Amino acid sequence: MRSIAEAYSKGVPLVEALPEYQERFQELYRRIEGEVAR
Amino acid sequence: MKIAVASGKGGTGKTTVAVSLALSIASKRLSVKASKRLTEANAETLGRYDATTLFLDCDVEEPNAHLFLRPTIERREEVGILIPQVDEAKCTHCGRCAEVCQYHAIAVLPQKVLVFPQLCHGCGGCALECPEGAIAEVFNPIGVIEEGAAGPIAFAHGILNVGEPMATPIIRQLKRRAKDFAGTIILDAPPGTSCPVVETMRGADFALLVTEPTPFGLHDLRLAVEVARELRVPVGVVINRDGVGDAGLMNIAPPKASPSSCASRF
Repeated sequence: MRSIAEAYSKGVPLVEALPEYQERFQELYRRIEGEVAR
Repeated sequence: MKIAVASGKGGTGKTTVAVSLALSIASKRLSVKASKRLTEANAETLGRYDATTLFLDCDVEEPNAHLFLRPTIERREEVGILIPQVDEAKCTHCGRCAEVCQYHAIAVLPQKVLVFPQLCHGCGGCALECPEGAIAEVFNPIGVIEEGAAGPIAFAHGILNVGEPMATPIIRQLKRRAKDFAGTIILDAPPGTSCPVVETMRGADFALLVTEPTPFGLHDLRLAVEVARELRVPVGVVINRDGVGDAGLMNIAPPKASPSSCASRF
């Protein structure tokens, strides 16, 4: 996606440029927690 | 919990994922329960009480997470290893030091001893075995560690001096910051599957492998999974740039490759 590449080139973190991704990373973290707890 | 973000192939988006993960969990304070157990030892090591997430950029040959996290650097520490220094007046050129060196970092000629600092692993075997006590160990700097904070994230990265070949001593030293940290630790690994990656991944609770749907991505992902399997670290896979390239990536079947796995697409 062009907006991600543009943010990257300016040193702007993905989740700051596109805050909607935060929730997906939080969900990923919860899944990792679940895997580690198994 | 220690999460190593690795990839095998370079340029797949490791740092993007590692930084995004750190910012996302820190903003939500998902590791807040753990932070309550932060001790004075943490504060001494990291200079702050309130960090719930620790970010360690272990890509010491080319660290770049600081460009995104923009931490305030509060401390700087030189890192090095001890290398041999031969006292020619005491040396009898018996060659014992060269015999014990497994890395060929020392060569004994009839009239002279040559030391190759960049091959030395700092084990100290030569000094220990020298029958004349002619070898002293001297500090040889190979890089620095810088640490500070980026909002609620405690941050540290290693920087290997240009021309130095050994990254692992810096990574080992960098990981000591994690020893007493009770919150979540994100380790941004170097690319590849060689010693620096092994050193980064060793002791992690989980390896998050970032890949891309290309033949190269798949090839190197397999290698990275093998490393994690060898280290008995459970893995999950993030497929970056999903929808671009080779759909064959999904046939890797992570469940066969490790005790546990999960996959996310971005």
